[in-house]
Amino acid sequence: MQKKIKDFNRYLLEKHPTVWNTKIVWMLLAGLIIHIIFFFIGYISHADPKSLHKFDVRDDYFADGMIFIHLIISILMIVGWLILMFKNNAFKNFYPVTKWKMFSQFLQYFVIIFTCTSFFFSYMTGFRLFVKNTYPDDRMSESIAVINKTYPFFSQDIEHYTLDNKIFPQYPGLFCETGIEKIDRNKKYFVYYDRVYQYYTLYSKTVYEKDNSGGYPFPGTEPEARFAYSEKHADSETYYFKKEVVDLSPYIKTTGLTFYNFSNIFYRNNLEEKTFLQREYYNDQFTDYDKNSYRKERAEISRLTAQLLDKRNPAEIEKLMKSFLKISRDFGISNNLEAGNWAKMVYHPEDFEVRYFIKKYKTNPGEQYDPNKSSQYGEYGYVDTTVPTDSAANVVNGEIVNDSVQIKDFNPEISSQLSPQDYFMKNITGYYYHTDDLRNFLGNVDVIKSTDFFSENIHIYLWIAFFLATVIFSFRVTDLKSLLFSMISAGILSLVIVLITVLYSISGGRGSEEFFISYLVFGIGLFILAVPVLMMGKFRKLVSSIFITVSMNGFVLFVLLLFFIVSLHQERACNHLISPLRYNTCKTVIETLGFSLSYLILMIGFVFMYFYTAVLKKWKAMPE
Amino acid sequence: MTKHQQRVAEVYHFFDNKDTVLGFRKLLDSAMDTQDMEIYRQAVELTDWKEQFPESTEELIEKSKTLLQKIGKIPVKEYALGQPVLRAGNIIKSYGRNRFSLGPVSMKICKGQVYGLVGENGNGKTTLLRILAKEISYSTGELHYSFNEDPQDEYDLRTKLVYIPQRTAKWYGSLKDNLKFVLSNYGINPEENETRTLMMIARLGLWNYRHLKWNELSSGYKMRFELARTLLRKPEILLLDEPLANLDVVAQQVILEDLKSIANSVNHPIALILSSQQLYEVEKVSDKVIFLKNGQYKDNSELKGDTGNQLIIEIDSVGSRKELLEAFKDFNLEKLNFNGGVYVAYFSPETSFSDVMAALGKAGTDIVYLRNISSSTRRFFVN
Repeated sequence: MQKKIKDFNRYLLEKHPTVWNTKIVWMLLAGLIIHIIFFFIGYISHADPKSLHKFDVRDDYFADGMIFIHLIISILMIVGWLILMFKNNAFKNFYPVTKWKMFSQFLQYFVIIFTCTSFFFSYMTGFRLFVKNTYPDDRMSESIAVINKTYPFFSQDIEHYTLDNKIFPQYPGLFCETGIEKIDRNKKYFVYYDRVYQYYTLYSKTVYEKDNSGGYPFPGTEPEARFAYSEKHADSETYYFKKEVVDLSPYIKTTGLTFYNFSNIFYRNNLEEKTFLQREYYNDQFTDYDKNSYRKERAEISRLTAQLLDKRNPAEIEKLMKSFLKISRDFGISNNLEAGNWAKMVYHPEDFEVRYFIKKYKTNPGEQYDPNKSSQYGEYGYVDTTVPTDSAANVVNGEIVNDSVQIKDFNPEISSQLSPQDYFMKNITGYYYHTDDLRNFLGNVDVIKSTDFFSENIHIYLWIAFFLATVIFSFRVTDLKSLLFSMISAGILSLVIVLITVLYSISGGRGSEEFFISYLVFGIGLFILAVPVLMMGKFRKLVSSIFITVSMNGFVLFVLLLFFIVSLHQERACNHLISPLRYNTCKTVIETLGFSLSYLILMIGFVFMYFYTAVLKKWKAMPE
Repeated sequence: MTKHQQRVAEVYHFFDNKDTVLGFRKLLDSAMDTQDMEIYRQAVELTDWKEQFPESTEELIEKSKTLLQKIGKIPVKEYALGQPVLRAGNIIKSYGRNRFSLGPVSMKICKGQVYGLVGENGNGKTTLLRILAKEISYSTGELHYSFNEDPQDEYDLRTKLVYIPQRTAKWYGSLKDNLKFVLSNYGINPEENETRTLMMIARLGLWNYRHLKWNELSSGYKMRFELARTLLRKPEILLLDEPLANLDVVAQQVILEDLKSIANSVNHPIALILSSQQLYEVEKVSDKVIFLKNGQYKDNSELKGDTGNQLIIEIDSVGSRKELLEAFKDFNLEKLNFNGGVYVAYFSPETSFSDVMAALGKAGTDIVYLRNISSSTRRFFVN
């Protein structure tokens, strides 16, 4: 083995001296090994399903400290590499070099550094492969179907079982008004303790024109009092208005909490639904918008639940719960549910009212259960938006006066009735099920499967590699003294620029600092770039080396500045062009290119480095 | 008989006289001139054998002669010594007003020539060498180079101007790898790389040191390795700053002889300029000795004429001035200087050196050292 390595090294030395000098073969080999190790670490990192219960596992690489191991290994590898590489330097010894040979050295530095700093991708690839293998899409969709079917029996949230959730297959597209002051008391309405429900048919108006603030304005022709809700589309917004009250008494057996009312979805198994997978989104309850946009799915859940209940077959309910609890076990969700007892809690064939409730988390002995508390963090996960409306209180002549409707007008016996909250607390059982964990788990599995870690993170690693490569390359071409002087010069220059800008700003240039500083830096940058190219001979070798080093390390930033200046002008031109009534929809070049800009500038950087090698050779040949 | 064959014949002569040390070095020189890899391999093998059996002189002579026979048969293209490789015209380098200024220096050197650059410390030897190597700029004057192939650009020119400073930079890693790295960078065929490297190691007498680390080498051997690295670059001009510093007297002589014979290669002669404090040693091998004092240029071609062909003798004696004057009373002694260490006696041109020696012997003067420096730049030092 040792002989083979020696022979190969000898082959490289004799045939490819640059490759031998940069040690790229061995560095890539070492990098590959570390990448494989990181891949395996990634693969086993979330083997315990409980590790997928936290809110967002995408940042686990950083949160769990892998990044420190990564950093230590990267630093050790790069330092070791530099020690080996610095042993020889053909350029400094004036051995013949071509432009391509020099550029290829730089390219090799880039590849080596990128390999030694990008273990994150291997970790995430391993992690993702594990999730894909362990939780394949078809298995997950089956599980989610079971979970969604079982969700109606979770009995954890009274708001899911109130009348406003109920979907009437006979009347699709009804709107349930719950605002107490908006109820038409001359038409049929329903009362449950302090809540009032009235059902309306709807008509709609769609608005296509945007207003000044970028939104679709409320259609002025319609009365605001009739407004029910609105739906946003890609290029329009549809406003729904209440038309007339429908009497649904034949379909409503009870105004209380019943499983028949349930029409919610626990988790949408839809990977295309990117917004759903966005951070801070999947953990939440569904918003009104979701409720409306997923009406079909909700109707289906409602239909399936009604179908199951109508069968009056406790065994079938128990079977469903059994398979649900098996899935929960597989996903590592904490609970103390047992299918038989759970089915018994649900099965009340007379009206299927919700008689018993289940906790969302395990309480300690003596601890009062708080339905709004999250099992994860011991904090409040969400706040109920449907607060009982007891009309608006107004202050008239220093006294509080209720000038509108009161709940007592709808429900005169309210004082003798048990509030839903009290009912909930009275009927809460010792059973618990960590619902948030399940939702996080499902969300995490989808997020890991669907997030494009590569495109999202590649840029930072590319640029780290590029800048480190330019620094090392400048050191190899010039020397430590030049590099240090360049750093000092760049620092002083930055300070001067800031100082000049501040002076400009206080001397009346307020408001256009962006332009001023951009053009100032542009001018200085142009000068620095021009010196080595056009008038290198006019300066001392050390001074030239500072210009060269700053040029090499700062060129890509200079290109970025050019794009920035162009977009500054675009923005300004756009503000002049558009009428004050229309919303600014101009896209600057930076916005248009997006992440492609990063690749574009990187390419420009490489092309620059290739041609700049001619300047470097010229500088090196300069006498002192 | 070609020049190559003449050299081979000379080497035979060395071996016939059992002068194996010098003979072997000359053998390797002739071997190198062939540029034939098979000869190189055999020479390397022979070197290895020689180092293993240092006592077997007879066998070595026999083996060497066999190899010499082969070497003699290989035709070697003679390099036509033509125009100077370097021409400097009135080079002046000044460091600001009232500070050190060098020159004007005008010189030209052809391949195969060895120039010695002498002078006391701080008189501009290193500066001149660095100017000629384009390491530092000069204020006025002109500098022209003429190489086998015209350089494509300034960097290319610098690759051809090989300058070894007095303090060479440290080498890292294997010494042999460093040497091979040179050849591969110069695009030498990979099959020839190892052979050429070993041949150079053998030629510079580094065979037993090739596996050592840089820090394990004495400064003399460091210089030799540096020289090996440089010679692998096939320089047409070589500028050496104090290559003899830190070397003992024998080592100085050996390296000067080596440099002289390498510079005089049949098919790849080198123009060599070296600076040194070892005046006599340098004078022995140099075609021209340049003396720098306060940046002013003088060379030994000016020695005739300027002092009217006087006989100048340097005498180190414990005897007093009076004793010496007494001994020289019959000669036309123009002056006798004492510079604290030695006496320098200036006699009229018709005086003979042997007569002076005889007179000193007759007078029984206690002489430590005596040297005729009439045609040596030593005169400039003791003046």
